[in-house]
Amino acid sequence: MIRRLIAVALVSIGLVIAGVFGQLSAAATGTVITMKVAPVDPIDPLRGAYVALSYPSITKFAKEADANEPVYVSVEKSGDTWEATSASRTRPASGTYLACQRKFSAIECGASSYFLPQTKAAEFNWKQSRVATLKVDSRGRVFLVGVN
Amino acid sequence: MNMAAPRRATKTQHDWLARELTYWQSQGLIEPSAATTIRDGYEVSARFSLVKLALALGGAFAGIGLIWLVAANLDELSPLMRIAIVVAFWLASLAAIWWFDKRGQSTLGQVAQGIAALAFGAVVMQTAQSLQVPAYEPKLLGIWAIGALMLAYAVRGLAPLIVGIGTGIGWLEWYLGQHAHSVLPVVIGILAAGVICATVATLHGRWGTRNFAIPWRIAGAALSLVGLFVAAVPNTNIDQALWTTPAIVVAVLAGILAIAGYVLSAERGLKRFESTAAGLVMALGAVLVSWRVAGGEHLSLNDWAHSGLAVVGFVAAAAWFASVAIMRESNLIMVVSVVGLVTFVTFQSFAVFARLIQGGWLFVVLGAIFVATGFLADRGRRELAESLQGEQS
Repeated sequence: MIRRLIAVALVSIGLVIAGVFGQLSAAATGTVITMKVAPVDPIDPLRGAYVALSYPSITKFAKEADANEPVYVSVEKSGDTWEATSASRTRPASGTYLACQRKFSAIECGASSYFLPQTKAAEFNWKQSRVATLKVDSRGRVFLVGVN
Repeated sequence: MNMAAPRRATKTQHDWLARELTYWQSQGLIEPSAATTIRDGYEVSARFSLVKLALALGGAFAGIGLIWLVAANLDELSPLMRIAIVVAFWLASLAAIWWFDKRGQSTLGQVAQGIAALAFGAVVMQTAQSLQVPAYEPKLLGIWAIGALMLAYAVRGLAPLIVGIGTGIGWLEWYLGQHAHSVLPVVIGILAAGVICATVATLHGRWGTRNFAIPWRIAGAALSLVGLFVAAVPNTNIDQALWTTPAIVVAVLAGILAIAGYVLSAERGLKRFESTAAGLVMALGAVLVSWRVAGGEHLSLNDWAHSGLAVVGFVAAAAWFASVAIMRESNLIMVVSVVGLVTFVTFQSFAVFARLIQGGWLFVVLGAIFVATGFLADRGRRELAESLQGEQS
């Protein structure tokens, strides 16, 4: 019994790591960039309140991808923040880019939900301009560090 | 017969036994002294089931509460600390499974198994929350399902199996809802899952833990009827009925699995056809969802033919699952088939009569159809039970 339980525990931990690998890899090895964001604030039944983030400079490339297909958004520094400059269906050979996917009418790059305690999510003031800090690894995987 | 230690029975079982003993005495089958000896050999025990109920509820509350805590996103604790707490809780519940197994305390062990399966869900969700994985990601539910199913088969635990099947079905519906571009892949996905569940239930009759077949069989019946229900909804848009490569592959694989279930089954008679019947339900669903109807105010012959096949097919499928319920002595499968049938007939009636009758009369007619279907389904169930019991005896 004990061996079977240890095996279940190890494989389960492996599954969890595989499930969040994109964010984990970016958090551990990614380069820090900041991008302007715009808000919505819904609730995930299993993970609680969050602020849904839209990246205006990325959203404009939504038509570049087919539904549920990967799309790679190149980003470059423009002033204090980074901006999406182009999108392609093939992985760029160089430069900083985000590995994304078209979901419904938006482009999802793995950093569209900012989970917060419910009171803080409700108090989130969107009248002021917001900037998301992201970490991007060499394969375009993204980890959302925070929103200022 | 050794009557030194009275056997435990529920009050319902005890009352039934008392009635039967009286009947057997009246038929001259047993002497009054024998009836008294048999009756005294059983004691009514409500305490036992109450303890089990309390433990099961306690385990469910603890597990669900842990997931609730994750959703509460407590800001007093850092994200890393929150992961550490839920992982510690999960590992403690795994250790408890081992501890209770070692001490032979199976009831407490089952509670720990249920908590461990739910706690693993909390680990998955907390890790994803702390790493800001985008919301509404079905993959997380899939990971939870795999973890719970692994635990179920490793410790032969029914509670993790139920959690695993439930979350697995949740993942399937969610994934199909997010990725399918039309109704057809959704219908094929649900019906193929029904075939998989029915086949796994059949194979459990031959290999593994026999009582694992019960939740798989219930899930199979529910998925097959839900899939057929969706397939039977008249489809006026050809774009909703386009066969994609994944849908074809899934349908073919499910068909092969249905046949494999028949070949590998250890059963004889009607029970052997469980997986193939689920395969036939999938084939019927595929025909219905591919069938384009005209729609509009007036029903054409094509519309009537579609509705006719849908009604006959669904009634046949519900009757089959009612037969399975009787053969397997499963009240839950009976509930699934009767609720499915009543809901389907009412829905179909609404689709037809709403074009002919309006306002209050529509509800009167639908209410009458609802009651009549319920009455006929109940009567059919009784007659089916008598007929099948007659065949078996």
